[in-house]
Amino acid sequence: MKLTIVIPAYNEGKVIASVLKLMPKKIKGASSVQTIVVNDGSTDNTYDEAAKYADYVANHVINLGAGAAVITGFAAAKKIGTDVVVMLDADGQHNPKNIEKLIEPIINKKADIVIGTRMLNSKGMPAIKVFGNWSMNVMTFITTGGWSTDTQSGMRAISRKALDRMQLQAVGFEYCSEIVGEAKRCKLKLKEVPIQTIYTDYSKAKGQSIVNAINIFTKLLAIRISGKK
Amino acid sequence: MIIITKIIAILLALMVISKSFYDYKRKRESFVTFMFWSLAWVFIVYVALVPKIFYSFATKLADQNIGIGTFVGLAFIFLFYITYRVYMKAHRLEQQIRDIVMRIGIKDIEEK
Repeated sequence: MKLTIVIPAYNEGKVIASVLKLMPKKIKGASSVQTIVVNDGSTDNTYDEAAKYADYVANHVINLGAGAAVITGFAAAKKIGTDVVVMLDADGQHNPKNIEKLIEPIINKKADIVIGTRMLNSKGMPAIKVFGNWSMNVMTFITTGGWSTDTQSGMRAISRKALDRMQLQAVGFEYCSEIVGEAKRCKLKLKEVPIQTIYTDYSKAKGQSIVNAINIFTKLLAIRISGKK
Repeated sequence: MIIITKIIAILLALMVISKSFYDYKRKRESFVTFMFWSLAWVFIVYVALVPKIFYSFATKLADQNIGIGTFVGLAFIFLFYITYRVYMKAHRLEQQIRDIVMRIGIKDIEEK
């Protein structure tokens, strides 16, 4: 089973090298592990740093948004013939040691999408973020009908079957909710696995703002209204 | 209320004309485009300052007295149509740009 780690990155030049150095070369259950960084039109040295340590770098010549970077990452993963994709944030908040338990339900055919949830053990997460995440879960349920305890988690494992079925349209951070909604629409099996998050001043500063939630909500509604092709 | 409408019309016209002039000076738009938007907004300000022009226009156009409401209604329909067309065009262009950027992004990625 071919595993691909997809890391969307925008202006993460300061940390991307250290994040990539921590990526495992071998994972139990995977015949190969490769890393794709999607540089989303960064204006710093993200591309150069990623090119040194990642197996592949997909480069957006302009900044499109996190969702667009994820769609590109999935397309790149399909192109190299991947069986399972694991998504991680580029700010270093995800512990690569969690990858093994994240892909386990997919290997055992018990899930098509596995979300690494931070909310089952939200110790250390700022209270405002806990509130924001639960609000986004409710918004996701209202707009897509899909449910997860951590819809906004950036750490997920996605099977090839799910990659082929989902029709992602979101270009911004609303893609997180859209994935949960697509799991429901495409009748994919969604599971959750608790993960530990590494909170640093850098990763805390990089998170989404509460104000952005309104923007995400309206975009999700627009996607819902316009429907899937 | 009428005075406020006139002030808003003048301020908006000044904003649009100055922005258009700025773009023309920076060679972002042509002289014809600059003149088109300037004249259009001068006309809008004129209509805002002298709304009675509608009555004489309506009399000449329809040879009868039609209410100002009819004009406002027609203007709304026209503006919504224009907004819809501009929105659809912008949306389509955005999608096309996105597709191009994504395709370029994975162009060189081949299975190792």
